[in-house]
Amino acid sequence: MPHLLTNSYKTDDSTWFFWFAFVPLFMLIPLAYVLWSCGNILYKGMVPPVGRRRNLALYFFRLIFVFVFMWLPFIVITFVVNPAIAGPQNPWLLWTGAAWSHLQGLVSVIVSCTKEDIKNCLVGTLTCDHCLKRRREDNRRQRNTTITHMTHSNATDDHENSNLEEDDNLAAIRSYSIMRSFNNFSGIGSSIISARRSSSSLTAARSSGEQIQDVTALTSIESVRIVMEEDGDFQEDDDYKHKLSPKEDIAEVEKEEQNTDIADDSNRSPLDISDRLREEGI
Amino acid sequence: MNAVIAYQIHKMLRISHIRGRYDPPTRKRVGIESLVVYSYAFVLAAIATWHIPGIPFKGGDYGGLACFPKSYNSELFLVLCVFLYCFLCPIF
Repeated sequence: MPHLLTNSYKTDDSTWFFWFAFVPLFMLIPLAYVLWSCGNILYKGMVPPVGRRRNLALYFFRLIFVFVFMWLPFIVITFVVNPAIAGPQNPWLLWTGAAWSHLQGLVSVIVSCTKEDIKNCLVGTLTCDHCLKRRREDNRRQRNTTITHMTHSNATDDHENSNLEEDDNLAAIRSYSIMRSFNNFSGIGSSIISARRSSSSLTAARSSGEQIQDVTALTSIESVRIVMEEDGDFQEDDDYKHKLSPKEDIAEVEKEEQNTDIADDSNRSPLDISDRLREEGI
Repeated sequence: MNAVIAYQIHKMLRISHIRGRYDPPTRKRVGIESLVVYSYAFVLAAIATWHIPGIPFKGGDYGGLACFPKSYNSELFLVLCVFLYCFLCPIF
């Protein structure tokens, strides 16, 4: 298309425009921002600790590998092999190298899809049906697991929150927001955590105050049920919740508690956990 | 597109670093941002390829390919290279 590639402007004007408008717009400004981001991340130490940065490292290693693998042949063919051939440059050789390098975008997509969550997201975007179905399933699963996730993440270690995988960040933070809303109801949240720490009892939940109402007890029982269901301890008593009322539920669990060793868990009072959560700003 | 990805990664790491809540971009937002980026790239490619009135830019082909613009004045090219990168070094 030679008719598209020529115009009447002076070459000097074109050069000035190229270097002071075109190059900054298409390369220098984005490149400056990327370099600034890298420097800022390194300077402020925002990179996850060693062992927790594996996902990020693998993701970028894939992209860098693809970039080198796809563009190195083009550079060699264009600037080394083709000029070395005597006579006029071979257009087919140049075309081969250029075509190979420009497939880099497609190869990057394929390689990125080796990561399961990226593949699921891409497939979900391309297939709207799957996307909607997945959203419904996610919502249902989230309702069942957020409380469990909350109890896991809060009852294990003080520093666990800072060591969360980046992929789990969203789920964990959602559970934090639920935890915050529970905390507003004077100890209900701490009761749930205590109930989880006792691993199948409601002793801690009751120790947070004798004035716990049925609603509180019911909430704690439901959380314990969810935990037990996920741990596989609740499957044998499938009709458990249909038979017993919340108060009967407490009595039944207390009876089971006598056969379990919960000394370590019951030493930590709900008040301590509540104070700890307040310190963490949750 | 690399700048957009860098922005999201920087945002995720910054918020995770302070134990904050990071909301990943939704599919809708990703789609809109991609559309903006590719529209921007299309405009730049059009400038480099087509003769657009009012823009003092002369595109060119390199070895039969027109995917990258080229500069025509080699002397001015060298001067601007030195000046531009000396000017941009303090920014980096």
